[in-house]
Amino acid sequence: MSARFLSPTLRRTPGAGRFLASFLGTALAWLALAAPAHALPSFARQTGEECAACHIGAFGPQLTPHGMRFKLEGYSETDGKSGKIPLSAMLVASSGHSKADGNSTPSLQEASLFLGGRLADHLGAFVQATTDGHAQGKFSMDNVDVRYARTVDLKDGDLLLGLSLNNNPSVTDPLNTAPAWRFPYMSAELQETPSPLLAGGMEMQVGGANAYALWNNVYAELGLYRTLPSGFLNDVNVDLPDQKISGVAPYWRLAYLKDNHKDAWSVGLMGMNTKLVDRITGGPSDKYNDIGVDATYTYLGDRKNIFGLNAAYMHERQTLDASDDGAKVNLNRFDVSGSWHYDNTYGLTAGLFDTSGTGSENDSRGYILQADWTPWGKEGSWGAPWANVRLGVQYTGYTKLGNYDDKASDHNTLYGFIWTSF
Amino acid sequence: MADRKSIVTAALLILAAAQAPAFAAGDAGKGQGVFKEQCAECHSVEAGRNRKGPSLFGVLGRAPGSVADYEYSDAMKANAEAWSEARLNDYISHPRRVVPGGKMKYDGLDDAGDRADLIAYLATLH
Ligand code: HEC
Repeated sequence: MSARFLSPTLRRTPGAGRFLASFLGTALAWLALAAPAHALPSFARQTGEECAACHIGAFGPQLTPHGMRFKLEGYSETDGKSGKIPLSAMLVASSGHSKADGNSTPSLQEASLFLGGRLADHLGAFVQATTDGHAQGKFSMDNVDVRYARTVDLKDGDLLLGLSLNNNPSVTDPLNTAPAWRFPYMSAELQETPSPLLAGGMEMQVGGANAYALWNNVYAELGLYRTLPSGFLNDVNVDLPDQKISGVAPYWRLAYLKDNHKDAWSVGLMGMNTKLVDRITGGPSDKYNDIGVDATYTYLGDRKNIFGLNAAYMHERQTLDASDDGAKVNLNRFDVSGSWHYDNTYGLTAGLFDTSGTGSENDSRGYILQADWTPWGKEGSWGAPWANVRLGVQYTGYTKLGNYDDKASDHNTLYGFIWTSF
Repeated sequence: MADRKSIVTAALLILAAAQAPAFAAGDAGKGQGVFKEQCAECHSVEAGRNRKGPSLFGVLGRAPGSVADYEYSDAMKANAEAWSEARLNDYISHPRRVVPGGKMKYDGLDDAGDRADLIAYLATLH
């Protein structure tokens, strides 16, 4: 799920036909492997709930309102039965093809281990360690979100209060518009398009202490982030950044979330102010001021047909005293996606992204289309609640890529993946 | 004044009378849809399978708080009145008001027709 691990090497091998054949071959091999594994995604085991209760399309990470609640309650709700072990694993195999980069051989894209679930009353964790095809089995720290949450009963409704220690601004967010969690949930990400710093620019390299509250459908969160010590980043195999946060960088979030069970909607604001200086020498700083708005609508009905619409816009003002003689740069990023899931099994999603700003290198635009199949993850479905799998095909089209010299459409990428979790 | 009060009372009584038999006449098929929409994320209808809430298999007529391996709130355990259709109707309309201090985080189902269908469906779970 973190962009760093989403890039399979594209080795040049001839022919898209061979790509399809080899992809299907690996697909079957993985299915055969996954089927008898009968390990179980730890959240489902802990809550007694089917994957589909918390995830749209019965597969993570796209959350239903119920799943958002579970996250905000600190991953600690249970069905009251004891003896649950909060461990899970995930494997992603994939293959990609684009004109500019050729074919990639189908390979293990990433494998993750999770500490996922309740550690004690009100205390829960989502901690991911990931390895990819090139790390030779070496795992590194991925998403970390450890939470403590309490609900206080007030006369009309209740007040939810929580704390989180985490390593990526917006990884704590419940909504599917959050930069850390929005569509595409899995991708080749072959072409890096410009993104505000808040949207993934500091993931895994920072530590945040956040406090949040949910009251009367109003969600508010405040987090303070610092770059993690180099020794620690070395220990957890995370590449050292060139720049570090000077002092602390505040992250804030305000959203209105309305869950009618039949449908749900939200509107929100998010922002962060960051000053980056050279990690070793300090000196002058680059300032990034980010502010974003987002909105979501989800129709759930009786869960036969689920429709989702997510839109987010973020504006960034950069003042680059350290790296560009005080240059002032603007960056805007817009993401929108619409999805339809049938029977929590078949899914179609279409997304658009558009970036613009100072300098033509910031202009990029494109679309992503995805079709996927999630055969399990429902109560009573074969393999449930032991294992879950999603097979997907994704096509990314670029109509503009300002930071590349060649034709944008040469980077259009066909990508297939098999994503399993236990 | 007194007249207006009694008219209101009469109207309320008529409304109540009109509603009382409604759940007997509910459509269980539609009720299953309402259940999936409103309740299924927290309740299974399979015996012995608890989620965030207890299994609702056989809930009609049973004593509140009686699923053995589910951890109810103290408020639910102290609630003595068996789950009749009328009692379920009240609870589903205003969970917090009917069982104050209970832990069902659900605001209530406003539509009387939906409640009638839902209860007709719950009655089939035996
Ligand atoms: C957000 C989760 C949630 C939703 C949605 C929900 N419930 Fe509940 N329900 C619970 C919990 C938790 C309890 C246990 C309450 C307690 O112990 O105070 C409960 C208890 C109950 C009980 C009492 C059961 C017993 O064994 O005494 C009934 C009846 C019930 N729910 C019906 C419903 C119906 C019908 C719906 C849909 C209209 C619904 N619930 C929606 C969580 C939920």
